[in-house]
Amino acid sequence: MEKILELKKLKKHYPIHGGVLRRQLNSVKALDGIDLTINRGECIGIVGESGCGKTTTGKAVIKLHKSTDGQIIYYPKAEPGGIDITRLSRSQVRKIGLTGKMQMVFQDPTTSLNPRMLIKNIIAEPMLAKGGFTAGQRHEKVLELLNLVGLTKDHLLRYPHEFSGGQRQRIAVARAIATNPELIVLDEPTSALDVSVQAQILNLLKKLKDEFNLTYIFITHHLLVVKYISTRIVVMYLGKIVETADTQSLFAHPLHPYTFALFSGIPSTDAKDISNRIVLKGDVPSPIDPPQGCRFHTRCPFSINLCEQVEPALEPAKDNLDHKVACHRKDEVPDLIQDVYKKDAVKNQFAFK
Amino acid sequence: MTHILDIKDLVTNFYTYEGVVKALNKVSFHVNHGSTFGLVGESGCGKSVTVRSIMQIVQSPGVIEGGEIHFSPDSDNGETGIDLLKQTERFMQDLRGNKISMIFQEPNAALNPIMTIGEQIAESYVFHRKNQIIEKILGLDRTGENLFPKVSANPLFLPLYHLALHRPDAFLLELIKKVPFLRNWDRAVLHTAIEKSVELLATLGIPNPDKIVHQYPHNLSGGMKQRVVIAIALASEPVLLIADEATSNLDVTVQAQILDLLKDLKKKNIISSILLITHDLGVVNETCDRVGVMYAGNLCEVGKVTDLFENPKHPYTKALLDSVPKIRQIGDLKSIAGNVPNLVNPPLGCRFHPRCGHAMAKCKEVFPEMTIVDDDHEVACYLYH
Amino acid sequence: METKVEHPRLKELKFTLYRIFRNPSAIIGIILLAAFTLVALFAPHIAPPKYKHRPYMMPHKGYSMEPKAPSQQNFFGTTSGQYDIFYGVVWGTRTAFRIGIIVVLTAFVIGASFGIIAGYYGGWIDEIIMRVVDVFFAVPFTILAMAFVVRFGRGLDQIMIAMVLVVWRRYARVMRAGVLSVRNEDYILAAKSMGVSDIKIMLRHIFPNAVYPVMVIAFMDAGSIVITAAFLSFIGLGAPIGYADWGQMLAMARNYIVGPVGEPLKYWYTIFFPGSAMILFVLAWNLFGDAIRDAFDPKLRRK
Repeated sequence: MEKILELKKLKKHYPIHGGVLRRQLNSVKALDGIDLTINRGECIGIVGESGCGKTTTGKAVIKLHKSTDGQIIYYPKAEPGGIDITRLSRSQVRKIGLTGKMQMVFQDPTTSLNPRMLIKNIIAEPMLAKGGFTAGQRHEKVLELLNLVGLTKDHLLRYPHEFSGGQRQRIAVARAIATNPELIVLDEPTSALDVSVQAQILNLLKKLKDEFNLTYIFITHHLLVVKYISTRIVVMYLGKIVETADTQSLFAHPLHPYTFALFSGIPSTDAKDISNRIVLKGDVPSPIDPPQGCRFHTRCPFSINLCEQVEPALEPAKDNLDHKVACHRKDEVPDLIQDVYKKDAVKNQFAFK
Repeated sequence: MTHILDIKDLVTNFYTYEGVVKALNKVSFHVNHGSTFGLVGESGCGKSVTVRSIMQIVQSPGVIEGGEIHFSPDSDNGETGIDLLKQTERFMQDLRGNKISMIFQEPNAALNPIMTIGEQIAESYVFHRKNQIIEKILGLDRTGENLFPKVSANPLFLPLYHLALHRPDAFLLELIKKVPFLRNWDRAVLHTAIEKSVELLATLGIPNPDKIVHQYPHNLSGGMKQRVVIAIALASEPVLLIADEATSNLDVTVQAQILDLLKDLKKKNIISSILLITHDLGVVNETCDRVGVMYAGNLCEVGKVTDLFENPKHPYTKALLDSVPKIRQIGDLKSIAGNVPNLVNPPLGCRFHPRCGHAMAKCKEVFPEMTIVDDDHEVACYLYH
Repeated sequence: METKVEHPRLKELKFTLYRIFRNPSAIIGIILLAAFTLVALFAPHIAPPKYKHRPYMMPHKGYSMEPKAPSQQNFFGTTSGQYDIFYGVVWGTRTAFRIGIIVVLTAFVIGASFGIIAGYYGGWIDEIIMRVVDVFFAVPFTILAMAFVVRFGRGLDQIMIAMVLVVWRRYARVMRAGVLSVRNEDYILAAKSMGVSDIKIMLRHIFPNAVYPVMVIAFMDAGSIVITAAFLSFIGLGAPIGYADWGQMLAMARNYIVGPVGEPLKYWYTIFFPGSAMILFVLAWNLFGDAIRDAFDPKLRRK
């Protein structure tokens, strides 16, 4: 498979300044060294709770902030050798002609569209930023994009506040694909929307992905949403990747206790699915001072001494090399869950059928 | 089973520049004693307006224009209860936060950042039970007989306590409130109440409650804050708890904790009846006994959760359930075509007909009344007339 | 295609006008402002200048120090030095507009630019610009104005420059505050993620969303600046003697504010006409500014 993006030991620490001299006292470890390879044409889902670093990852890729450490290597179609884009500024990106190759869709379409701009200007903006389009070409492309996302030309001369949430997100999607990008970061694109609209947007995104051979990084807290759209899932906790696998095997055999907890945390609409769930104790620890050893040990029902001392590495599971888990007890977890909760239901519940 | 809350033909309109927004169009449902009722719907369907109308805290351009809201706090008497819409504002003020408590989506907005957690819970506790606490401090029993002085307050202030008990609006008390140092004469009441709030926090499963009561809201995490908000709401021992999207802003694992807590509170009988407003069908499925589905200011379907989720009748309920991604998702997600109508000019007849696959000529003209299709299962749709 | 629907900008304008005209005091403000504008525009017709090349100099017949009461020849009477008050009030309207608009516009451009740059870039740039603003805040206005007049001579231009130097600092602060509140909005991040350049982000995204508080202050200032200018003229720093400026006219009437013993109101017209012109002018701008604020306040705008 062809790589499109590679993250190597990517770190993002937000400094906390204090005192009269504004010295750095500490830092929020939003992203603490993650390695991730994204292949062309896949939809990778990044899942986790707030503060786990999933949005930080997306913003680092799209270069909305400077990473503290590590590398982001982008392999454009034209240049298979790869370009390190970690330290490039916006004008440097434009110089090497990469502007518009990666786009982002934000969570809340009410805030991600400038309230004082007309829809046609909003959608045309990335083309203006990229350059090389005449006014006529831009206009034509805007019409084409509107049709593509299910809006009409009557909507051209309107302001964002005249649209419903779903329509606004369609506009944001149209804007993101305006420059024929190769990669789109979708940061919780459906979390601010109603369920029926969420389904519309998910189907639209699926359609566009197939039509334009796009690569998605889909960031969400909702496991079932990523399951529907993603080919591979990355589960993050406190700035680290705890488990990654293709969607099928993750849902069939989750190995990390945190992934289990996430699964059972989703309130389900299927009446038969209600069974006793694994409810974690406590809250996510502060990313300023993450726990020693395994970061999940403070909430993990199966933690042992080793977990408190040594941080587990992300290693392949024994029967599936693509399924990587960062847990000392990864081989025992499925049995442990059954033992502790005495529920065969657990295993069946998540069996992928 | 008797109804704690019985809402009939509630109509609320908002008068805006664009026109009259018909936010609620004859909404009728009831909440049983000792049960959890879930009101689900998408944003703008009127579920929040419904509870605001119940509490009569509809914001400015909004006016409650008709209907009845019968509230009967006691489960045993068979009367219809009091019609909240006919009561004075004074009466409603007394009711809010006392008999009916409400929790909102955003715990930060509900907590005062410069008061400790204990003070805030105690405030709610004292508000309706000052006399009881004073009696306890003075060592009086209910009949007013002096058993034995159980003084934990400053003995100098004891006469004030007696005065507050018998004539709470005495001029002297008003005066003393204006005097520095002396105005804190009733500190013992607050201390007693803070002790109570520690107990309450412990029942809510909060670790180290005696430490938490001395902390400020910014020391706590989002899930913990929401628990404190619940504690404040429960401190006045309400008969009905209204939770408006109370878990929507929380992470999944924390949401699971809060939902568990609500279930637990019901099991322990700390709160009996809950009216839960949410957009998340899963939350309803896990916590509620009965559910009402709203669309564009109308109630489409009401029924037992198990019935309604396994056997939805209204086309909107069906479509809504289909659009939620499931653990065993097979094939594509079905979405509902089109958009929620503008409530200034809602479609005539059934408001769902422009998006409905089963729309008939009748649907476009007259709004379908609720019809009973099953035991405790009502639908507003001509397919079942 | 664009003909079918009403253009959205027109629709927005209509809505804005509707909001403005819902407010009765706004209507008073706008009527007053319109009246002043008409007077200023048609000044040569209302009060034909005597000296064509110097229309701003008030004509005067004679040099008597004692003001004369209103008459057929001088509708509003004459002030000390026999300057025609009617002429002064009419042409003073032009002066007032000139001072108000030029000072506010210049200060707005300077202040808003610095405010945007400081707020958008933050860090060192912000620190430097805002410390410069602090330095300007430390300068007492009257002394600055005096220094200018001493160095460059008496005249309206000098005090206008002095006022610009004092007014812009406030705009810079308010603008920066506005920028800080929108700087981290998602649409700014979205524009950055698309590769839009900083200047375009500032002009197209930040400016239109952060400018309204500054605009409201600017509208109100356009009135109060005139009072400041009048004060400077009153203490002898502003317009040269005989110039059609309300402050100047008040200054000339200084000795006749109170009439002779027994008739304290004898020379009322020397103060009344220029004074009320000034009060109404400031009132007009303030009411107008209020209306603008109500109309543009995003919190009040919808619903």
